[in-house]
Amino acid sequence: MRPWKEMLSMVLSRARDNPVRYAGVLVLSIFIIAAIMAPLLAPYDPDDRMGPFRSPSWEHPLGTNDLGNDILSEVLYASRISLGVGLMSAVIALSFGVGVGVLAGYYRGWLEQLLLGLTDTALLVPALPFTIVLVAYTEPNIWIISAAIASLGWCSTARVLHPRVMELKDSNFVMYARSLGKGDLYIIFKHVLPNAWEVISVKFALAVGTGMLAESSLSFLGLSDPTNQSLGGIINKAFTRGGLAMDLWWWYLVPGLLIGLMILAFMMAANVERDKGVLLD
Amino acid sequence: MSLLSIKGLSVSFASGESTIHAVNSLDLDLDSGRSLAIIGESGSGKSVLASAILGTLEENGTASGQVLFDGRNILGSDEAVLMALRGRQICLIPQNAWSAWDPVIRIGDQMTEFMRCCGVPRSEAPNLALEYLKKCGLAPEVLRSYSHRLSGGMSQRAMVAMCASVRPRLLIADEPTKGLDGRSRTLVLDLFEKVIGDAALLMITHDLRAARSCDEVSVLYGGRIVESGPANEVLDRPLHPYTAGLCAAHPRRGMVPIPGGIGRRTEIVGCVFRDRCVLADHECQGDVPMFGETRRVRCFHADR
Repeated sequence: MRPWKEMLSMVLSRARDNPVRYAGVLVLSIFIIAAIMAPLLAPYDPDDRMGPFRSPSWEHPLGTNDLGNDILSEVLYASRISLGVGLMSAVIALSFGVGVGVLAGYYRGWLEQLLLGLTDTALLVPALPFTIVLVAYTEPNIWIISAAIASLGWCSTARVLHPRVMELKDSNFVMYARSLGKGDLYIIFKHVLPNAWEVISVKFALAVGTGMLAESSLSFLGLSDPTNQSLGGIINKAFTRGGLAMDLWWWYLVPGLLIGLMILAFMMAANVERDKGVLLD
Repeated sequence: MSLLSIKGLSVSFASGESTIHAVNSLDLDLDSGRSLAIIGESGSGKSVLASAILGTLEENGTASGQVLFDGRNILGSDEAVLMALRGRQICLIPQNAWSAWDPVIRIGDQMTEFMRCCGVPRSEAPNLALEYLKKCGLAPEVLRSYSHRLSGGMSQRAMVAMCASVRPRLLIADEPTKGLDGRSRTLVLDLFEKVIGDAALLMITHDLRAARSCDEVSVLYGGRIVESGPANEVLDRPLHPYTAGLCAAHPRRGMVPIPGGIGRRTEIVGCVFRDRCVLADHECQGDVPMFGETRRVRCFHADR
């Protein structure tokens, strides 16, 4: 068989084993490709001004807004920001969460007590109000928003990873490696993290989803980066500038549905319970 | 001089208020090219013995006595000294061999990494791995597979291949036949004879048929050796009441269990088996010496 045919049949057989996950992955790939290719796909520059408040037509599939910007083009560009902030906050949250989980589970002792105490405290803080306060007191740009979302997003990863690392540290293969003189860093990167990968990858997909949701909530409340409009920002504009009052549903409904779909796709992609063995080869 | 000579080894574990004596003043000798089976039921201190030799006791464990490897006492040595011995000189095939393989790394990569740790040059390791897999009756494809793709017997044999490939002088096999069917058991036991060459084998087992494949047998009870001697003699004509009980508990010999359990040993006075022994009397309250020369037994009432 030709290599690409082999690849295709492998992907198809995995998709049959876990249709939910691969449907999520498929939808996600479409969104991500669309976001990356926004400059090619968007019919207009999102800053171009045409007539305001136009209804959907072949020329403007989602109409235009109060300033006369094409809403479809805006949505395509905004999905880049939403996805970007989601991914960035997930990367920050995961790096921190994995670090804390591994340190606590691997080294134990007082460090574990300290880190778990910190994690439990952070888990008690209501995430959205905390993030709102953080962003409201700083300059809202996409970096600060991502960091603010990640500032509490790490703790559940640390909590879930900690027992898994403890279990792995006591496993026979880690004891074997240690008795042969392998160092902690080697064991963590070669044995512990690869074996905890199913936890980390699932947590990552979930973190992107929750990050996007948090970002949408912030922008809906007006706490968004004014130069980088996200999907939540479009909805915020639709609500504050008469979209709702004039019943222009295409202005707010489509970005809203897109946010929902993207988050759903990330959650579906995180569905790996039956996929454990397949992750390996 | 024996390759491995253990003198008066005691291991105890601190457990809350009390101290558990897992191994009590144990002596044994093992020469190069010989094999010794340590038999005994669960909790008799067999695996603790292996950990004590390798210096991998849990943190709450303390060991005293002497473990002479090649005439040098290695008990309580520096980690650096022990690491130079582990793998290169003394190899352990751990209990449940499948769990000693990392499930996300290919068997071949783990074997070559292990060999590299034991001083085999990187360029030679893959060929050596292949050679020993073949000797152990495994296909070359095993190198590219993951541990969860192998059966219990196959991963056990791959572990034997890995350990034998670095030609250690002492091989410790902890329950090598645990959970294996009859055919796999025979394959694994045959392997020991075939691949270890002039190394010494210390086999820890509660499988009497596996013990029979060794030259000598020592019966461990309550952290003490209660009987030792040539394998066939000990298993065919047991002298100690405990050994007799073990043999009678074997399915082919009527499967008669020994009443009572091994319990937690928090004190060491008198015969360790006296609570479960039908022959026990006042004499057994005191310390029991080891009787005999080649057939050694620790019992006043044994029919010597």
